[in-house]
Amino acid sequence: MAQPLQSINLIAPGFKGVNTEDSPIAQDQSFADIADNAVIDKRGRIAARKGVVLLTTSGATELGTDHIHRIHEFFDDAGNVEIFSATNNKILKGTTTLTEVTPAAYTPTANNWKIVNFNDKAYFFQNNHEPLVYDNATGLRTFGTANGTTTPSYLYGSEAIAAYGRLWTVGGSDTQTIYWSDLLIGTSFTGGSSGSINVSKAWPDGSDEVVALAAHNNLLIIFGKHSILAYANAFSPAEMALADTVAGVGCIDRNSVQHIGTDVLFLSSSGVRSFGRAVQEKSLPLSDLSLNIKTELIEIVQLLTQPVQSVYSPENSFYLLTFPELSTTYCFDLKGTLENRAYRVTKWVSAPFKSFCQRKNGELLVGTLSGVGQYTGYSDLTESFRFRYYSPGLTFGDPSKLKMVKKLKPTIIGGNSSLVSVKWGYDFSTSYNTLDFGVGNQVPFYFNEATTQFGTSPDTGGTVFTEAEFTGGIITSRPTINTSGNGSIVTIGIEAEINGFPLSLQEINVLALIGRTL
Amino acid sequence: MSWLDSIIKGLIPDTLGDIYSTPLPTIDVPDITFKPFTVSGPSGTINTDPSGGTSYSLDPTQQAMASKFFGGAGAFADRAMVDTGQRETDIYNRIRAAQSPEEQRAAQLLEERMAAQGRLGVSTAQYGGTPEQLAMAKAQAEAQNTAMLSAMQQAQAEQAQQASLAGQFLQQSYAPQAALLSSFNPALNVASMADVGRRQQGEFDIEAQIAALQGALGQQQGQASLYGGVYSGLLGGLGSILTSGNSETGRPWWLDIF
Repeated sequence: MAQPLQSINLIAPGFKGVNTEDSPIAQDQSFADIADNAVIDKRGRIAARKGVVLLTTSGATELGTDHIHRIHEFFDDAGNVEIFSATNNKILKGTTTLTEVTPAAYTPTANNWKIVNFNDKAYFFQNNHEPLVYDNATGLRTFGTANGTTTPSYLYGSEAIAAYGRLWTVGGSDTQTIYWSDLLIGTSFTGGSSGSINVSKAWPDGSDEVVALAAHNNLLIIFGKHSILAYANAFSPAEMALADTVAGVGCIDRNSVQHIGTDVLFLSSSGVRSFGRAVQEKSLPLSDLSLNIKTELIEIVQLLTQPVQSVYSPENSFYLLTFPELSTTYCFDLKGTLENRAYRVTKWVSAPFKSFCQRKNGELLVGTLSGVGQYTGYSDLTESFRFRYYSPGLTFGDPSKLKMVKKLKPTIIGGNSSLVSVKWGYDFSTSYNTLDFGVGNQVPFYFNEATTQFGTSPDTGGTVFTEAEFTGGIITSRPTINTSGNGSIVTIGIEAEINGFPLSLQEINVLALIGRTL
Repeated sequence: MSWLDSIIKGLIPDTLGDIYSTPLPTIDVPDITFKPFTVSGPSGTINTDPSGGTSYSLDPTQQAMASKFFGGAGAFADRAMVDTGQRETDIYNRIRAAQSPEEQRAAQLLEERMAAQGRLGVSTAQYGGTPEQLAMAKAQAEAQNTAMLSAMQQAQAEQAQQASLAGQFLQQSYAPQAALLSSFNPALNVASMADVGRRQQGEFDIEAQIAALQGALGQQQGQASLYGGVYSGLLGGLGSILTSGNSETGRPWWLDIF
């Protein structure tokens, strides 16, 4: 007697992001084993990320073979705005046209600048480099030129922040002493109310070195490599006092520190952490925001030879952590946390993202190999990119029984003209069965638009639309995929080439026969 | 002229010569010279000599006391004249030694508080370190200044005290001598009384002798005057006789003889 097909619905598959930590067969099916080039969209679905539109049209020769390492938006009270970028041991300005503004007779030997705005000026700090200062009237100058004196070498720091009316810097040959400027004078580190604090005696576990600084909740947060110091009353630096310390958790790269309004995120040697939780929980494992990819992330961190890059985008509700040398970005969705208090995370691979800058106007600038781009559209520098979703191992509630998947019926939103590959496999095999299908083409037609889309866009089958089709505005595809094979653990994947249109995965309906007990 | 001499000699008695040749009685001057005397008392002895000199001899115990006080006065005077710098330093060090334990406790507490607050490494252009460290340093500096000023004042006060003691000791070293001198005054009065009696007796004696001398002198003067009158009358009568003469020629009568 034939067994009835069981309909198993994977609603919003992967909306909890990637989980490579838990056993695949024990996982919630809302996790994903792979979620490449994906985000969690506004409806909680796993969806393709946006791409990069290159803004730079000229001046890219300044990059040579290098990429944009840092991007920074300067603005002052007078409304002047300037975009600075660092690449190829140069400092450039502009987006469409990149113009070198490196001061004459000043030769940077690296591009890992920390650029901060402070009191109508932008300050550039990089390890073992004389700091620079920019204002709209006088342009980019060295501290020595601006002050008319020789800049002391202790200011050749790697980290700087503008907080509490002062500029704070640390680094260079001394990773224990933090210097603060005179009030509102970012170039003055002598006289006035300037000063310094050596924190070598304050580390909770004896020793550490300052990696990054942050200001949050009226605290000056000093990140060591494996510990954190929080000083209160930093508005009056001479009187600021240690308010809290965290041992065992530190920051390994100052570029990873991002304010997200209510907290400060940073990359530690054990994953992404938040300062608020680290202080609250005193480094309990639960505060690990990247818990679901912990091992994977640690392995990457241990391989790093170049600085990481990060950005917090409130418009996109994500925190991006990029490893430029690996062309890999982790996207932490900040709209909410999971039961284990980790953020939902997806992974962007083979992406052109090298650096970021969140602008005041909400735009997210992206540093690429070709210049400055913007996080928008659905292609990477006019090239398509591949969206991949793979489910964890699905047991349908009983891992001991044989499953024969007969049909897969994914619901895909958007993805005009995309070629979608539906994949399935059994028992953790990486040799998947694949069936491709094309998503229909649906481009909005605007009244009185000069060039109509109708009748010109080919569908995936190569035919030409000859009739107008009317939909709700967003194309929805629900193909039925006949599948084969059997096994006790089923893995289902969706891959799609994203080339100009958004795509999200609403659900996957699985029709399977549940067989005998193995 | 021999005849005249004979006449004169016949007229003048032999005793007349005695009036001028007999010496007057001599006056014995009484001894009213200063008689040395000696004063002895508990403080010592004072001896006078005929020339009016005075010598003092303190009693040995009094002399010892005087010497002790005098020596003490010298020692105090020596110390009073020593530069106060070293003493100021010594006093300052003692004051600081008394203050240091509390300062160290306060500094340790501050250091512990700074360490607990993670502020040991603070360095500021305004305060040097932290405001608390500046306050501590100021307090220590003020304590040092106060100690220094106190040391100076104390050293000067001690110097004044040494000088005062030197004066007092010096004054006291003369007390036995003063006591001895005090005992001299009554003796002087007694000696003066003896001296007055002696001088009065001498005066009386010499007055008596002068009176006797004057009596003898008057006697001789009387005799001389008597003889003078006699001989004056005789010679006057003789002269008148010799000068009487011729009334017409005015020639003495006796020329007419010749």
